[in-house]
Amino acid sequence: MTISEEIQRATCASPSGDHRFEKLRGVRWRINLGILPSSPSSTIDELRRVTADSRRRYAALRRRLLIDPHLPKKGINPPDLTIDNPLSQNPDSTWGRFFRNAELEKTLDQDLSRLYPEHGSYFQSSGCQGMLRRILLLWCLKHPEIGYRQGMHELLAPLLYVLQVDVQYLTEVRSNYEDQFTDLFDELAFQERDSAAYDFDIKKVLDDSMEEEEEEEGDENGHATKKKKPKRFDELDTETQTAVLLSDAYGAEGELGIVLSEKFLEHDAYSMFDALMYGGSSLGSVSVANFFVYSAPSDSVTGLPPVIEASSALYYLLSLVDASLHSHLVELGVEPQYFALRWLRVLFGREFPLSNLLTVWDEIFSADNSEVERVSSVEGDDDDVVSGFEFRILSSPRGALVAGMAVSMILYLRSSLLATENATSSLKRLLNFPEDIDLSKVIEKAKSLQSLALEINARRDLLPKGSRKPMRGHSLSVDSISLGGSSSSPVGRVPESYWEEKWRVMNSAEEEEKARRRKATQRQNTVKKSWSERVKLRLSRTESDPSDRSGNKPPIRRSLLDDLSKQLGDTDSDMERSSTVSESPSGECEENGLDKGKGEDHVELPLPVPENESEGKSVVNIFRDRNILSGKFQRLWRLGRSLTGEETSERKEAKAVEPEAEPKEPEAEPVEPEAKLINYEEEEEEEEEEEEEEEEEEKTNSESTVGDGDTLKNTGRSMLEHIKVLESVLEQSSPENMAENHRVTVEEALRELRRLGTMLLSEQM
Amino acid sequence: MVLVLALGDLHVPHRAADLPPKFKSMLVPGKIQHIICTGNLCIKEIHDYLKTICPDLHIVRGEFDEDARYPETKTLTIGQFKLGLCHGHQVIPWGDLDSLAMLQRQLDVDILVTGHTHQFTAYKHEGGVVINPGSATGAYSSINQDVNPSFVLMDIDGLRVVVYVYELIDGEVKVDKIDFKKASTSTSAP
Repeated sequence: MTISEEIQRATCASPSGDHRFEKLRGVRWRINLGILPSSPSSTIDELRRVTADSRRRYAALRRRLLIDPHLPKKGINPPDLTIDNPLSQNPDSTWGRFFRNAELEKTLDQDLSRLYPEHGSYFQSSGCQGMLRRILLLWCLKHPEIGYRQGMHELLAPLLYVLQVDVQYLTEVRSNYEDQFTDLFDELAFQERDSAAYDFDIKKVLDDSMEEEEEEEGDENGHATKKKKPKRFDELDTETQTAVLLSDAYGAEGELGIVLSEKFLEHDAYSMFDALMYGGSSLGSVSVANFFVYSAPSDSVTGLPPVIEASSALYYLLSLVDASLHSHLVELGVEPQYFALRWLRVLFGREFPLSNLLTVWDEIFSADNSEVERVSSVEGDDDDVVSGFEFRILSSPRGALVAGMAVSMILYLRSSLLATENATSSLKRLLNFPEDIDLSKVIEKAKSLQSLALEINARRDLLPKGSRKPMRGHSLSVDSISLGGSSSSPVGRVPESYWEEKWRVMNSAEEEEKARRRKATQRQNTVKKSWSERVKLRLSRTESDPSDRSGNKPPIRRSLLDDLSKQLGDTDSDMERSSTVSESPSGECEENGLDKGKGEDHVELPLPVPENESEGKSVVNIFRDRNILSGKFQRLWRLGRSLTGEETSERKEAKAVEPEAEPKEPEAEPVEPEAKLINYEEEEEEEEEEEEEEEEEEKTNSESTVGDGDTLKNTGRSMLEHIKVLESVLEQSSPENMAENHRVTVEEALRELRRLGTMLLSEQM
Repeated sequence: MVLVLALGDLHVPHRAADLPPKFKSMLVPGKIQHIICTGNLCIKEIHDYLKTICPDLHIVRGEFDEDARYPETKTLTIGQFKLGLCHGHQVIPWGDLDSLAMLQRQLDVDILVTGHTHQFTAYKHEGGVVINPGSATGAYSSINQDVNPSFVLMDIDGLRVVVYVYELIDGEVKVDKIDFKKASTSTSAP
């Protein structure tokens, strides 16, 4: 594409923002990359000053690092020849540095000679090559930790190119509007002016016509038609005005500040390159230099090199958008970094022809590069907060756009990719991106993907769990809370945080219950009825194939396990009544207990949405049940111990309180304390049972004289043993992989408990 | 910026075992573009070793060299300079400046490099430079028993040549430097 076509193209693509520099892509990019001040209100003068500063920096760098050993080193007279001779092994000697630079240059030349051969007229010219070489050399010397990697030259070349385009544009404008560029001074002396005498402004006062300007702007290739030249500066369209002002040799900072200057192409290109490589200061922004690093940065979450991480981000995004394509690629064994490495390192430089690439980069650069504010996660996650996202690339708009662009490119090739049979052909397809594409569509898609990417990155709970490093040392129940993450996710998958929240709500409800329980009267839950229905429902389902309830069960089971182990551990200290957990049917709880024994499928706690949303309510119950179960176990345990003669005054007190508290319980049902756990057929009124249990305990306590005590003690002991068996089995093996023998053991134990309970009851009676 | 190494009179294995290790450590491949050798290596192994330092090796025949195919004298052009190479046993009296100047005029070179005396010398003479790099191994000669190992590195850059002299004195490498600027090249001689 010729330069003038380039300029035309540049005018078409105008991302939002500062519209002053629509035709000057170089200036736009410099603003977007952060070299020039980006606020629309910054004047041309400010731009000039900043430009001049950056150029000075480059010049100093060059002076410092480019070595000519023939020039005497300043300050050392005479140079110490034992060090400064050409063969010196001393690494500090100028010659040593010279040789090192020479080696680096050799590597660079290998790449540069193969740069953009299709645009060889510009890129292969010695001037351009020399500039590229120097820029790359200086950058690599300045950043020895990365050095030079293949691909950097491809990043640099378009930057230099757009600057060159700008300069050419300037020359064109110059040729069009010559008289605007002349030094006003020349004519000043002899001209009568009604305005102030010493008006050094280059605006002239002449007449003109607007239409001709438009004509001219639209027709840049030829100036065939003769037009009246626009005479007044301020009637030039703004772009030309800007161009003129930007190239004024007498503005701020003089020649060094000429923003569009041919002399300083190298300096500007260097600053742009540097800004691109070390883009943002914040954690999430896209710094292309990171893609060249081989090892993982120390604060990375995943411990992977950034390129690999970014590639997996791409695949993750793809999986969200188009799961079938994603799975197809994964099946074929196409790892994302095979193609993404090149895409990311050169920012798609090798995939698009130069003109398309410039458009793509327009979009990428116009996206903001700062880290997006994350939605803060809910309470309890402090231990778990990691410093960055799973996918660092997705945490800034620019990074998200890059990822979106990549995914949209993959989607563009969707049909041909799905047709491939092996990895090689897919890779071939991916690495040879077609030339004639509808770029605007691809970019549009990329933008929509960008917003998706930003959204998912903001909700940490949607991030793949597999890669998260566990950082909590707490018990499993805390674990389950913290895994939940943010609860503010509105749409999409219902994450486990939903359940976690429920649990938490339940828990807090528990606390209240506990408090109330101590004094409150017995509740006659109207809810009971519905509970009983649900219980029956549950019952029937217990008989049926357990697998279809796997969605609901597992979280409970796991937490049951957790709670059990925890609570059994600290029952001693816990004098509170666990009975407070009650409101709901213990039956469900017990079922759960047994089901555990039966070893149904145990799914991991981070749970995808259960399909049967209708079970929502029952799931709620499940949480309660869990607590109930734990409470049950606790009570059982306590009972056992009490039966073995362990009595505390508090207990007695508690017991004493209880009977007062429930004077009027219609105690129709026979109650078996431990049987509560097992006897699920009858459990409808949880509270009543509890009361009864308390009563029972009291009774047993009060009744336990020496005589009965022995038998009771024995019974109690055996009960305890059974419970212990249960515990140990459950601890050893989580229900998912519970072996057959374990299952049997558990069931046996439970049966025994039941028997004992019945026995006790009959004794009591 | 061309680096040219000039050395000679090694007399390996007859009078010396090898180059001094300090010299060897300095002579790493990749830095030097040309080697000119005054002769008396004497064996092929040294020839090969020099070849590893730099593939562009120019060598003339000394009286003890075992390879009889080396020429007596050689001239080459590096940058703006014409260099002449000769062992020096042919020029009598050995090491005499006027005689060497005669040879220089004969060969029509700006820089004449000869050896045989095992003594480093460098003269600016009649618009040219006559250099003797000495013996790189410090081998004794018929006129001198106590010889310091030495060699010369020339840095040719346009019209200017900087001559670095490396000498091993008392176990330490001493470096010295001589600047020489050539008058701008005259038009072709008639």
